[in-house]
Amino acid sequence: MNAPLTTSAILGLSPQRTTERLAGLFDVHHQRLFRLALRLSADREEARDLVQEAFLRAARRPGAVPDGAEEAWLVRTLVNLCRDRYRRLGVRARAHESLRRNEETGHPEEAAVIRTTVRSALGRLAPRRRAVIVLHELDGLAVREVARLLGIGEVTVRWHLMAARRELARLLSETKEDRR
Amino acid sequence: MNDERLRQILRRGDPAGEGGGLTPDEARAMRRAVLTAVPERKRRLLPVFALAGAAATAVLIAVLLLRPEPARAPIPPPRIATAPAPPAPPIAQAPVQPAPQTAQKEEERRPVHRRHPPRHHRPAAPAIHDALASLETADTERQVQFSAPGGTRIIWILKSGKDSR
Repeated sequence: MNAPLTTSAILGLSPQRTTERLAGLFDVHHQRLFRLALRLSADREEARDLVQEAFLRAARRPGAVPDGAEEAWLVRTLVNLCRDRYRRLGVRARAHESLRRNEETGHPEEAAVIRTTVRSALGRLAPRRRAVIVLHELDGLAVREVARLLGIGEVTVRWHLMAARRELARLLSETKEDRR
Repeated sequence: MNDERLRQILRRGDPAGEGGGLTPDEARAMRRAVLTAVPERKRRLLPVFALAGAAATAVLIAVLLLRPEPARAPIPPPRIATAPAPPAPPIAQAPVQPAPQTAQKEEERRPVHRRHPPRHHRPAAPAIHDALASLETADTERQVQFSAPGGTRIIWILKSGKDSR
């Protein structure tokens, strides 16, 4: 499944061979996109839907995917899909509710509690801010790379990072105090 | 909470940490769905074009049917006489001797004094269509009446052997 295809190898394909190009893009990027979607979304099902929708958009409009910047296009599409879903379904409220339910039931494993706490706190961030902190802190990308992937300026990335850290610290502290 | 501590918490609670990644079955199904979306799109275009053509035709028919008709002059309401018409003025008779019976009737239909009728009543007939309205025979004079193209009534009074008017 994961053929040793690189983006540069995909670029060598003729534009007419849309299907092959799309297959190459999928093989190269789907796991990474799925991990990002897991960090940006509320659960695994939603992450899978987001990744599939991002690739479907590439399939429906192959001309919209720029040569040489496919990864950035896919990441941006995924973040935009997260943002749309965030606005439409009120994911923020759902994540908060999910956290409260888990706290009420009490999870036996500390790791699971932390994971739920982090997911909930991330879910309360605005989608773009969430994407910035996830790409930087969890994917380990440099500020410049995050800016390139999201199509925004480095200053904006730093500003989002600062705001996201402050907001996450507050949310996690509140959660810790609530648990005591 | 400093940045390093926050980073540690985030990494410990990374949502993609617990066996993150698509399973091979999930990836295969998603790949198939994505790749089949391209030809499906082409197939979907056919009904889209058909629907667009039908809609355009319907709009055209609707426009032709509902097109506003050119403005017509309002039909005047029928004139109903409410007062009795005044009696027609007496027809001027030429001071001549009475004509024969047929000529006399013709005389009554065309008054002598009607010199300048409206232009739109110009007859499409030949120049002199009623050449000889009446020809009176008398001992001393004869009268010839006819209409000019403009509707002018011309009366010739011929006197035998003498001057004519």
